[in-house]
Amino acid sequence: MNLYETTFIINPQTDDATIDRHVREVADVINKGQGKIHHEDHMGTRRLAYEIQDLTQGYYASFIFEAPTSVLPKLQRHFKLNEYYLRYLTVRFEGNLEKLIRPAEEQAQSPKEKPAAPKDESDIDVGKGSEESLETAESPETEKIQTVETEAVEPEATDESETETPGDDAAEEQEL
Amino acid sequence: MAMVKGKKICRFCENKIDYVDYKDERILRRFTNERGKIIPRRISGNCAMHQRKLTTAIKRGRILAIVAFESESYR
Ligand SMILES: [Zn+2]
Repeated sequence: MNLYETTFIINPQTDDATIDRHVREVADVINKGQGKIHHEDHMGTRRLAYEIQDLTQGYYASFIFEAPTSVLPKLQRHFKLNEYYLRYLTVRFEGNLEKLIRPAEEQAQSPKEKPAAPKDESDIDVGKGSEESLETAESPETEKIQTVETEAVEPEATDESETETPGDDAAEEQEL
Repeated sequence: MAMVKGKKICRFCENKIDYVDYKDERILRRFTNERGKIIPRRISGNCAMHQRKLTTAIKRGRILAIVAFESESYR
């Protein structure tokens, strides 16, 4: 039994009930395969970074679940067979499930009991709030980046192509 | 190397962020340029570990159309 996270995009050009049904179908596949869903996230309709089947928006949802590996091909099959799933990606979940399930409360209660956990807990806040800290830090950075951009376009391109090795999640990737 | 002023710190270490979420559009965008390319760590100042996690997250984000593979706004 491993922890996985599957994220998928549903074609939003239908009614809410249908979208919800498509989300539930995924849950059913997991449950029928002896999987256990620990966390569910309906991110809702979001703008797509690039058009998929001429659509500019998609309905995002994700599940974090524990399941035997046999569930993965079943999931894959389900996504492939139904054209209303625009994209899907199933990966091993590497984040902290505890944080997702039990947000911040613990840190206030037991700072001594688990010194590490409350510390991390606050991080999640920082993580969300970190946008500000990252943001503030960014403005000088963007300037730098632009400077570099102009004088070092070549090496940067090389950098990217190096990092751009296929493999990792590409396996999960459907035809793009 | 004129722009190497002051010490670069990894923002993820600084904020004690361990997991880089590939669904977090804002984080992914912050570390890609206008063309959608991953900003190298010599510029962002990220540590090797976090840059690795970030790179994975950005690539996953691209698959899920959270960030673009590339944007044409170039040339
Ligand atoms: Zn770091």
